[in-house]
Amino acid sequence: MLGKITRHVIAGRRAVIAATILITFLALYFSTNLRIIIDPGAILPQSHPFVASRTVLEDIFNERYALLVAIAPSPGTKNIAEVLAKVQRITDGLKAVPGIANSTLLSVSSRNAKAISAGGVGLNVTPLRSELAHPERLKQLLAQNPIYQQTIVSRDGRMFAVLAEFRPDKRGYAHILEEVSPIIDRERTAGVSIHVSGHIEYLGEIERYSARMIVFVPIAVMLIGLLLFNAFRSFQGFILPLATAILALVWVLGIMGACHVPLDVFNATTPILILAVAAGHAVQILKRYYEEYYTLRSSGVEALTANTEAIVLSLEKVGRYMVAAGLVAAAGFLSLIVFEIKTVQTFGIFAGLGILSALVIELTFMPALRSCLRPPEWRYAKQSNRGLWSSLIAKIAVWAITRKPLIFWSIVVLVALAGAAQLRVENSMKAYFSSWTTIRKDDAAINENFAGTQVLYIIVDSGEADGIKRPQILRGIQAIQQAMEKIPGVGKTVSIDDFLIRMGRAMAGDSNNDNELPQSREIAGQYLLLYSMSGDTADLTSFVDFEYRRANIKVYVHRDDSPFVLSIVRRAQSVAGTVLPQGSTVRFAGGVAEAAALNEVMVRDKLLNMLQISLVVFVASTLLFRSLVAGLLVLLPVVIAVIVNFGLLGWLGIPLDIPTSLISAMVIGIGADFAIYFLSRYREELGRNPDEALIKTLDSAGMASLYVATSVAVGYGVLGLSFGFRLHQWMALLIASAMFVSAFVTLSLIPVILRLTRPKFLFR
Amino acid sequence: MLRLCRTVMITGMLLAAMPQAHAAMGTSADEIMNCSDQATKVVGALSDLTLTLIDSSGQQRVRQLSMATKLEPNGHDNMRLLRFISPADIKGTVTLLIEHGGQSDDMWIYLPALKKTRRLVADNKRDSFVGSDLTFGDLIGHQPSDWANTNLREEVIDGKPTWVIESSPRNAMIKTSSGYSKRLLWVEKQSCIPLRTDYWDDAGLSLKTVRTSRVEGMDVANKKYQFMHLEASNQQTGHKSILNYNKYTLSQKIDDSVFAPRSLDQ
Repeated sequence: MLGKITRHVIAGRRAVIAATILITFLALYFSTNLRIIIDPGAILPQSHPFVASRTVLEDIFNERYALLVAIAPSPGTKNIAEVLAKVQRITDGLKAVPGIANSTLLSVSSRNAKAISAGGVGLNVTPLRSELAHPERLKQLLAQNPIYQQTIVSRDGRMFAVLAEFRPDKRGYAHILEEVSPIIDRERTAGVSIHVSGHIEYLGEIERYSARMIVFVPIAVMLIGLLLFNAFRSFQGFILPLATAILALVWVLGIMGACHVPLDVFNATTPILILAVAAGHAVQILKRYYEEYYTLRSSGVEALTANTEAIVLSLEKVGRYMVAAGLVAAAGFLSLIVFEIKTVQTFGIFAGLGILSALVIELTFMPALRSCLRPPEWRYAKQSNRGLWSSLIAKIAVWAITRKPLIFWSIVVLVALAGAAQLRVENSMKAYFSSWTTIRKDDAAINENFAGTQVLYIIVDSGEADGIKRPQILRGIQAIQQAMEKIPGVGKTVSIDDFLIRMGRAMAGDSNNDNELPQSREIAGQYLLLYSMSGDTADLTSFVDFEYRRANIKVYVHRDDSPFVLSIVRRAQSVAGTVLPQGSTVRFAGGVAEAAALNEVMVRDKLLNMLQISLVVFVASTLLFRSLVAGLLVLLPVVIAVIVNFGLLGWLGIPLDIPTSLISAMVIGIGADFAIYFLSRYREELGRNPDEALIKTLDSAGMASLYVATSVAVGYGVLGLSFGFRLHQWMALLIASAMFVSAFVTLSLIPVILRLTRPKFLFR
Repeated sequence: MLRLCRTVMITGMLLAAMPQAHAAMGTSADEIMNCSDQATKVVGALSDLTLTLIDSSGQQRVRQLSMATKLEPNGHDNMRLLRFISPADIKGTVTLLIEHGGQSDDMWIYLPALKKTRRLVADNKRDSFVGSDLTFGDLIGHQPSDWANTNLREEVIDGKPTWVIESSPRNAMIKTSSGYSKRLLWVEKQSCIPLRTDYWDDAGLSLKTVRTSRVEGMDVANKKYQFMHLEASNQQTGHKSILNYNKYTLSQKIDDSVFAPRSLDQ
């Protein structure tokens, strides 16, 4: 049937090419509608409690994602006055940056930073910025007010920080950094060191580093093309697989734009999958085309006729397996839309539609185009199998007729499983960057001197207006804080309690250092009124809501890895359950909490995700070959590739996080194709001696798989050169490993199993 | 005929100018601002107020207060006693503000929960008035001579003719102590009460808008007026404060002892 369709396509080739060009332009037009979600919060499962907390944190406490700028005199110098002047200029400069939550901007120069102290006959509430010209007096006030120690001034009093909270910007976090950087950079002068960290800095830097893909992907595509040129020794071999891949990518972006399916930052790598799969199918067809063309020419058919017939025959013989393999993979990916995480849904739609687009292009545009092109030179067609590739296939063939691959892969799987046992399931944005990068060095410098560069927010809801003033609630908050501060990795906690304690001490004439909380709701209410009269309405916005119903405990942490964050959350939940009165609740929010939430869901969902794709691949392959054994054999390279990848992650200490698990899911889509092509060709060749059939299969479908695996692995290996950004390096490693393992398992292990088991679907 | 027309026109212009002549001696910016400064200063007054504070998410705090005001012998500074009636946890809290012209004002607070009177030493001109979007400076009034005033134009607000005055601090100290780099006031010609004031913070950023309404004559012969409703909207924080005078009566018989710090617990 595919042969007939191909003949129709060739007959109407001009119309097909014109239609393809038109569709491509339409896709380009619609791709301009494509919306890219930058905010990781929007990617989270919306039903997760941490996500619901985000709204409270943002709307009530004006907090979102923090940026931390720390300024210190260079070692050996004492120019504190200069540092304070810089703090003031940076604070004033940040006020005007779009998206900043001004009420939460905090530094010794901000309006809301006020020292509470005992006056001669009463209470002194002094804006810290009024003392900027008197460093010694400022030092004294800061020492009296522990709230500010290690939050805006370092332990040794030499480093000063500016804390700013930003709302998400549709243009991305790198855009926020672009606005902020000039304000900071003009203060970078000799004798002073400035460090920048916080959630905004990490998100912005991830965006900036991810933009390297704009350079790396074209290089990868060129490398893939060059390797295919080397394999096929023809211009068609270089350009056609890439054309299929790139057109498929444009089409899918157009479809997503037209259907308003948004892209997100975690799907920036999905084009790699589409390029690899699309090029893979194109190479299989092209390889078969050259084989048929060579056979036809050898039997004396003239070039033009041989060209048309080779196009028809290649699609007739390989096309249905391509369609089957493509549909299997597309179904697997599209089935991911049942998942709750938006990024997984987008990944499924993106990859599934990309593969379907590649199939359509390979069945229509490519035969039409190939029939318009000049037939290959005779000598090129003859030479296409020569060189290193052939000798490698020959060596595999020799190896594959022994039992050695069985032993080899068993050892590989055992070693990988031992590595996988050490796999850490965690997400840490810090871990995305090499330790020598500026962002990590800045983070280390700030963490060394301050309470932490990340903040977890614990929101205590008393359940009633003015409920936070109740002594029982205030004591509960204090107990939670004390429990948090005992956890290694937690630098400090700050809450409304700290302000009330400080006010109580000042009202007592600063005569003691007791951490005594107000004994009655009235005392708390009157202290808070007193403070509001001496300060700004927004001074306490970060710590208590307007109705005094909810309080916000800020937990400054040195680490951002999800197991650590989740351990804090569990501890806080357990303490809150015992110290807070009935009717009150706690919830958790903030960038680190959201990352932990995403990871928590991912641990469950990604495994299910991979199982689901595998199941679809298994069922579809079983139906295709009408054999359960075939279904298992198709799954084998994929399973081993995933095990090896998990093993590599374990042995190399790379965490299983959002990006690495997404790559693992990609493996399943790519790896199954090799086995489907291999088994179908082997079945086709089995009319002869099984060993000869194996050699012929290895030489054709096997060789094509080798081309694809090598070119994609080497092409994306270039990401290994993304120095400083481990995310890209992990990707290079895992894609190369997945491509090679799935190809070599197909070419070496499957033949051994076939020889040993002689399954009925092949050997009838 | 021509002469008649001219006479009618001149008469009309004079009639139109009459309220201005009534409100202020002249129309120079400084005179207008002096008139405005004096308009709400009365010998003594007792009032009941409702202060509603609304944050950016729409949450509210409602406070009932009573206030006693008495002009000091210098005719410029005021003594203000403010007693909180509700909510329950701050009921009985009393604040006392004694203004001292150009110097720092004195402020005391009585906290019934502690049964103690405390003196507040704060940079109070720019600090919040009982947690609202008004500062103590806004409440007390900014000394006109500290500000460079320019009469920009005339405009009609809610059917009332106003002078539009731009007011900038004369020096950095005034800017720092008030917290404002500029004010733009729409001063009603009849009462000299600013019906609208826009404020810019000391960094030059737009800060808040205060609108007043229901202006009532308290002692029209002496050009004393009082707004009964005030709404302040802070553009930077999204906060809003609404002040309603439920009752306002002039009183010349408020005893000085009411304003004594030691009697705040009475």
